[in-house]
Amino acid sequence: MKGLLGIYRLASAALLLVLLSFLGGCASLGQNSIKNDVSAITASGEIPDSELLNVAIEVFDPGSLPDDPQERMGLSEEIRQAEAVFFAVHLKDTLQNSGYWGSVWVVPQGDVMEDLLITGRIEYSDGERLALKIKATDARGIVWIDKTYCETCTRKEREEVKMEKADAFQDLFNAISNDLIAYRLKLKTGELVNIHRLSEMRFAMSMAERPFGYYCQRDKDGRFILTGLPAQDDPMYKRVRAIRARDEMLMDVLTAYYDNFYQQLWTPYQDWRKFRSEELETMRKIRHKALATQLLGVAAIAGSVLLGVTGDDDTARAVAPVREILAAGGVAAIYTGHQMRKDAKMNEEAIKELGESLSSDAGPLLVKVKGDTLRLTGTAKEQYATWRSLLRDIYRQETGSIEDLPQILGQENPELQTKSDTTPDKRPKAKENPSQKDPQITK
Amino acid sequence: MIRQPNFFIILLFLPVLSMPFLVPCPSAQPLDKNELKREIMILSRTREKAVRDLKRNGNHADKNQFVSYLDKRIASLCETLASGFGIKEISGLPCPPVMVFVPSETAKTLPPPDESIKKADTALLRSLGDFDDLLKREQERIENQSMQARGGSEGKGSGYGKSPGGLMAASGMETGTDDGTRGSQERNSEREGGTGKKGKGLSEERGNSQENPSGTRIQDASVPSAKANGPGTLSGDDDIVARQLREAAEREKDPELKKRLWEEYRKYKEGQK
Repeated sequence: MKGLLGIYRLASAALLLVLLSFLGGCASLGQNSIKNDVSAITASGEIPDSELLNVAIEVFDPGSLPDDPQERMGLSEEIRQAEAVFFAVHLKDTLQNSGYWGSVWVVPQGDVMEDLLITGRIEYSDGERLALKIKATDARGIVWIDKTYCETCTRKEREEVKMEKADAFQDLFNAISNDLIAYRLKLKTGELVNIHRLSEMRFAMSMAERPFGYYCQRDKDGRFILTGLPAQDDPMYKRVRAIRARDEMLMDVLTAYYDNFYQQLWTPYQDWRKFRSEELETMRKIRHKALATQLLGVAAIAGSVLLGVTGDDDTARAVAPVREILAAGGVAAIYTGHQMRKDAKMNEEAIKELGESLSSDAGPLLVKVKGDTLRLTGTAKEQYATWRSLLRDIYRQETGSIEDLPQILGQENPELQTKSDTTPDKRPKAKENPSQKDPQITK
Repeated sequence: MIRQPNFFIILLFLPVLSMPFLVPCPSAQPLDKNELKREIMILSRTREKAVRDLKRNGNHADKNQFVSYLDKRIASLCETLASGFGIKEISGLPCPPVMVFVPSETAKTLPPPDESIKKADTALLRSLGDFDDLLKREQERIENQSMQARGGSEGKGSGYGKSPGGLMAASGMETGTDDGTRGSQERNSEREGGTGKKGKGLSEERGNSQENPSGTRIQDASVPSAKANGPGTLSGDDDIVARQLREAAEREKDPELKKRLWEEYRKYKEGQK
């Protein structure tokens, strides 16, 4: 009976393995897979500038490596971090190619104030399957999409790649782009203009809170709303716009650094994906074959046992040679299966070696791009602080406001209050005190 | 006796008195405000096209350089217009926002600012200028990196074909080295294809410039031989900005704009000499 129970357990485990290998793909990650051949929606004509929203994509969160050692095989933190930049840049390229957007930038993680901000997290990535959690929020604070996209790429998709145009997971990137376009198309021109103005005002507020705080406030749901606009020829507004032009140029430069990284990683990364999946495919085939052979062996041994248990002594004697052949064949099959598994180990080694090779390629590139972008954002942070201070000085001199003094002293000074009352602020005052943040500066 | 000193005085002041009747030397910059405005609009249109190209075709350093050149030209023309004909003249024109608080304009439109505001404005302008310089240096750095990467990657495979191939050969698998090598070759040929396309573009350009009525001999002479080393690389004596200007001029269908762009190209080339 014990033997029968063992055979039953082995058969169940084998069935489960076979089922899992058939399910594979995104279903095993608990996600719905993107359909194959998702066409990218592209603008048929030229979109007026006023309706073009600018998009900032933060470098994705690399997420964590899978817990399962088999799934983690040949993956590394370096590869994940490289993918976090790579996918963000490829999404940027996909959005740019659609023709529906204004400028599309890739920026480091931080406080970014743009018309539309896209953040993402790599939920899973092994070169064959990719799951990205994407969130897009506009300047009003309204979330456009917040969902996980998953795709299992085919061999054909891995082979027909083209830099900036077609990734192995292009269906996934097209699906994200199409969802964003679908949402954008639902918005009226007025709403698009409003989003653009709000991002401008939020930037202005981050640079000079006092003069611009009034124009942009939060409603009860925490969304940003425009309560007015400064005059186009307001000197302070013009100063802020001049700074914003630099902010956008800074984002251009940062994006160019990430573009360089993407271009340099392209060949090793695509090769890694291709060869890794080939190795995996071979390994799976060997393992399935080994499993099938071993199952046959087990079945033969079980048959031999069953033949011995059933029937009387005469029958047992008659089938004894058959039983011996079955048992010997079964043992041989199990041994062959075991040898096959050993062969599969070599593929495992190859997969690990491929991972190490890509990590060694991606590592220095990552260090370089991080160094370049950090150096630049660090300098920019200092510049923003200087500009803020200058704007505050100018504002104080223009309006005669001494707003900062009570804050510096830590308490309200009646004398200063009286002085302040005698030189009233000509501009509307901000209700809230939103924290001043550096646009696209890393945390 | 009395007339003699008068004659000398007239001789002494003759240059000053004759100044209003002197014809001004032809200048490289058009002095007519309408000319300036038209020039600004044309350059702005070219800039928009370049930006649109950038958005469609990706963020290439050479295009960026071209756009930044156009920005500088537009800013300089706007400044000439504002300082020569008043701040009102630049309203409605695509002039950069920084134009609005240069001290000369402020003086014309706003009540005289306090000395301290003026100082702070100047400090802000200087700081913005420093930042512009920094970004320009960064762009050059990126361009160099990009060029080096392109140079370094030529003829260099990824090296992935060999490693797994060896292991797979050991494990008796057929896939591996062959595919890996093929993959690299395909990519290299793709890259070569891109270069070839660029080369074709240049020979087409030469053809166009011969047909171009306003192209004149100068453009023909300045068009480099159809030898392109790859995207972003320089060909002949045209640098990136010159090439972009030339391409913009060749693509332009409006004859007047075309003429202007060719003039812009010529000015740039002369400036380079």
